[in-house]
Amino acid sequence: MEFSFVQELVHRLKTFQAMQTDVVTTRAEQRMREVQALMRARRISGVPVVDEVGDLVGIVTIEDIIRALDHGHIEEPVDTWMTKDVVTVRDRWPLTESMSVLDRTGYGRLPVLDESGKLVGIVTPESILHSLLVELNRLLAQDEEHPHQAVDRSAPDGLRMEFQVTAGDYDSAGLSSVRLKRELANRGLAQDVQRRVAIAVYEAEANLIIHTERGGQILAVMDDETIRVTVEDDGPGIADIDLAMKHGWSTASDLVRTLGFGAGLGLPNIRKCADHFEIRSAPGYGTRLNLRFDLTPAARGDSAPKGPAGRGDEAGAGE
Amino acid sequence: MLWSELMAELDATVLVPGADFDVNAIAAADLLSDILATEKEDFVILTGQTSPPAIRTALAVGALWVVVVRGKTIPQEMIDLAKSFGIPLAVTGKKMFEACVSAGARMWNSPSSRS
Repeated sequence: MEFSFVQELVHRLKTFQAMQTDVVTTRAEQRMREVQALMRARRISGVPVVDEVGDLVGIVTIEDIIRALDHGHIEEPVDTWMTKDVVTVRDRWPLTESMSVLDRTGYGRLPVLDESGKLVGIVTPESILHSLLVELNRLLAQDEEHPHQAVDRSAPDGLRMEFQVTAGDYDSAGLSSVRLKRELANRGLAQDVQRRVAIAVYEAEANLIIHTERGGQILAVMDDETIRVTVEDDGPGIADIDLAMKHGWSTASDLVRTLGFGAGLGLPNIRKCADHFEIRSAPGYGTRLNLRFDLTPAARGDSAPKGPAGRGDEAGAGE
Repeated sequence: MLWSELMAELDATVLVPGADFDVNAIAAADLLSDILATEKEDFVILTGQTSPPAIRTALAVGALWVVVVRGKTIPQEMIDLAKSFGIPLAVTGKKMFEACVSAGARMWNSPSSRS
């Protein structure tokens, strides 16, 4: 049974999350001797060979070096002795897929290619183990904060809502936010929490609509103590997170601004609203936001409507 | 200043009526993100936006009313949404700046003003 947790973990990860990105490469016209020296210096057992535009053309492994040495051809170019029929994996494949290729072929490393066939990394058993440990660590840190989280994800009063957000669909902005807020209102949460969650989710939604290539998902899970919101997309990712977190900085187009978005306040506002804010992003791979809202007794219990009566929040209106 | 007083001041046409409460504050912006970043409560949104997201913005931040400036034609979809969520909606012929000036003048001179 212990395996199922790790299996679930592996299943969730994509290959790019487990690859090593600072890959040492060589060119076909280099001599085998130079590659041998490179491998010794960097303590690696295989070097991908790329052409001038970064396309993978082969790989030189320890076995290739030994073969060349055996035949006294160590001074010859890589082109003659490299393995040309390279088994590769894709960056967006589930990690399980790449692991089964490693397992099936018995190779110690697999070059990782992106959609356009460019070499973007390399997966090895070590890089996979490393990524699993990092992910485990993250989950453990979460569970230490909220130990019940690991065992009970569906408390009786719990709530789980998932939203798909479509890129470019400006008119639907705020839809997830309003639906979620209505559920929180139905559960009698305090106005302040409802408001902070609604604003953060609205901003996240707007980001998915404006900035992503294919939209993304928002998942909100509530239990007795917290509301956790995860926002995930698969690209294009943020090149400079520090800059994106700055008030007023935006890459949005004029059209987007005309429609009322792109003020460059989104991420800072989300951070302001949430009790815990975590962002991870890599250009080419997408962005993931982890938000947490703590439910203090006041936040959970105070269901007294604030402000004038007759508001529409609880009306169950038809969106 | 009461909502009805604001409507008179702005010479506004009410598209979705609502109860007549005291207006505490006004957030005037065309960018919905600006409105989402406001820390006011029980306020009026004054905006040039005429799309459903403007109504959802009001719901998210807990704004009580929405007024569209420049006499823009409001799409039926936005009116329906405001109706179904109970957000009073009005349109004024005044431009944003003019609307702010007259609302502000009235608000700060009004005996019922709390701002």
